[in-house]
This record gives sequence, C-alpha cells and structure tokens, in this order.
Amino acid sequence: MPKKVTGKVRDKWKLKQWVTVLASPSFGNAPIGKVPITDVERPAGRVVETTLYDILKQDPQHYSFKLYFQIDKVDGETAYTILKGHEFSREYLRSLIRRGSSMSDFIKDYKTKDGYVVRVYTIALSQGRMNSSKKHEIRMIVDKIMEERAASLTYDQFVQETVLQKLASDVYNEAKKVTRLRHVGVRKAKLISRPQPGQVEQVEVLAAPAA
Amino acid sequence: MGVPEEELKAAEQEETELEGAGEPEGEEEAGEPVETTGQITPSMGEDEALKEKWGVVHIYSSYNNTIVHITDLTGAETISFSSGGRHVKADRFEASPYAAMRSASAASEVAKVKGITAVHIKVRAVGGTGPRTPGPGAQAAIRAIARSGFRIGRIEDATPIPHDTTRKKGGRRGRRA
Repeated sequence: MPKKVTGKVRDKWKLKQWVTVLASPSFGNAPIGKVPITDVERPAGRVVETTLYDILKQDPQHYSFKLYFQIDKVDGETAYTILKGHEFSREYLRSLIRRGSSMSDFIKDYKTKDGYVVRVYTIALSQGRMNSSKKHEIRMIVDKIMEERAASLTYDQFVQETVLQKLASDVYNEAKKVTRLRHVGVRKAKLISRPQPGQVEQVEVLAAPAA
Repeated sequence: MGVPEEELKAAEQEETELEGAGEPEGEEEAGEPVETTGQITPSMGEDEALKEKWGVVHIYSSYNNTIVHITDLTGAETISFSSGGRHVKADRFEASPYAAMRSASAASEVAKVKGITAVHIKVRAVGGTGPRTPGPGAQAAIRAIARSGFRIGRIEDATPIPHDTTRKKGGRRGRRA
C-alpha cells in the first residue's frame, strides 16, 4: 500500500509543467520567475511576491518595496499577472517611525478612470510633533490629491505613480506648507475591485448627473 | 557535519550580507521620494529571473517545534516538507537546533531532486498573541538551508503581527508555573 502512494506522488510532480510568470504590463512584462502548475485553470488567483528592485534593477533602496502580482491567466508557457498591490517592507516602515516625531496616516479607497478601486495607505512623518489639526490638514491634502489623480489616470498609470512614490512627492510638496515633513510615502496600496464588463458604463451613467 | 570551517564561514557571511541588503540605507533625504521617469521599463536581461528555479522556504519556528516547508514562488505548490518531530524521538527535542538542522536538510534534499536551485527564506515565529521571536530552531534551519547549496535570495521575517488582538493567554497575573 505505501509503495502505491509514493508512486502516485512522484507522478504528480512529473506532470507539472513550469510556466514563466510575467509582471503586469504596467511593469513592462518583466519576467518574475517560474512556477510549476498541473493545469491551466488552477493557478489563476495565486499571488507572487517580488520586490521593485527585482524588476527595475536600479536602486538598492527598491528592495524595501514589495510588489504582489496575481496570476490572471495562463497561456501556453507564460502566466500573465495583474498588480495586486504593493507594500513597504516591514523593516523599512519600522525604520521610518521613530520617537518624538508624529505620523499622519490616511487610508481610503479611490476609483481610477477605468473603474478599478484601489485602497491607498498614505503615511506622512514630520520632523517634530504635529498637533491633530495639522495631521488633519495633511489628510485633507492627501485626499484631495489622490482623488484628483485617481480620476484622471488609468489603473496602470495610477499604480506606477503610487509604487514609484510620484504621488507621494506631489503630496509632500503640498503638505510641507503645513509643517516640516520628514517623509511622505504610499506605504501600501491594494486592488479592491476590478471593473466587470458592462459595469463600467453603468457607473459612468450614474456619475454623470451628479457632476 | 564534516564541512570545512571556511565553507561554514562563507555561508554565514553570505547570510549576513543578504540580511543587510534587505535593510534600507538610512533615511530618505527629507521625504523627497525617488525621482521617477514615469515609465517603467525592465532593465534586466530576459532570462535573468528565469535562469534559476526559485522556491520559498517557509520556516515556522516555535518553542515546541520547527517546521520547514519548501514551496514554489506562489506558496500554493508544495515542493517538500519536514518538521522536527520526524527526526527526533522525544517531544521536547522537536524544537531543538539539531532537529531543525535535520529537517531543513531533509527538505532541501527533496527540493534539490525536484530541480529547485535558489530559494527565498521566510522565517516565522508564532506571532499573534504568542511570542514574536523565532524559537531555537530558526538559526539552525537557515544555516542548514544555506549550506545545502541553494542560491539564497531574500531572508525575511514573516511573523504575523496583529494590529490589535484578543487578550494574551495567561491571565492578569501571568503564568504561574
């Protein structure tokens, strides 16, 4: 009996086929790695974790930005992905937060031009202590900028700007008028929902009279 | 054992270097984030990421056991698995560095046969309401993996840390053994 079982297990592994996982088109379809699969349907939804450095190979600082790619569909030898979200690595976030300086954290969902809903976690750290009205002011600025940008960008563009901290630098330039800031960053972002075919139009119709 | 000291040292050095790479290089200058070109283009060679077959070693190290679980990059496909209890007889030795070393090398042996050439390591303590520091087996397991000939990528801490929790067990006056 045991013999039979081990035979089965070995067979299973041999049946697996290695497919190449590509990053989403917004990251230039860079190859991330290889993943063994048994059939084409099952791997959809699996998430591959990588760092921004592994894709760009430029700045070692990029090691502290984690990217999550979710496998969307498998076609032949390649698996195509979408960006599920990104995150600061735990050590990096820990190194930013320190005693004697305040942090203003803001979390909200935004809808991009093409109907993707993204939850954006923005963090602003000051040089000294901030009182709550200043924190509130910064949150208002973050919300204003994110709202504007999300509405005018597609998901791919929005993701690029959040991951590369371009949005964060926009926020920094605006928010430094409120208080002296040490760091502003989008510490985390995740995809909440994707537009279903047909649903997009409906949303636009609903939105039009309101505007 | 029987591994020459130099090799051991080399493995250790590699470990520390890699750990260093994960850390950020000081703080960013006054929050001015990285300058961006706007367009992301991959600058690596086509086959750079595909030369090796990467796996992920999940090391779960508690005070009662050490579990070494090697998976693919997604974590959905198991490649090999071993735990402390498979290599020692007594329950109290399951978390020992020796058991961890044995299970790590057993798991990596199987993974090598299956064609894995490089690994990322994720070390996990109990977390949650439990201890946040890995048990005695974690170090030994990492070293055994490093010595077994894999290329090592990232080594990171994957301990689940709650943002708020239920009450830690033991009661108000702590555990009174």
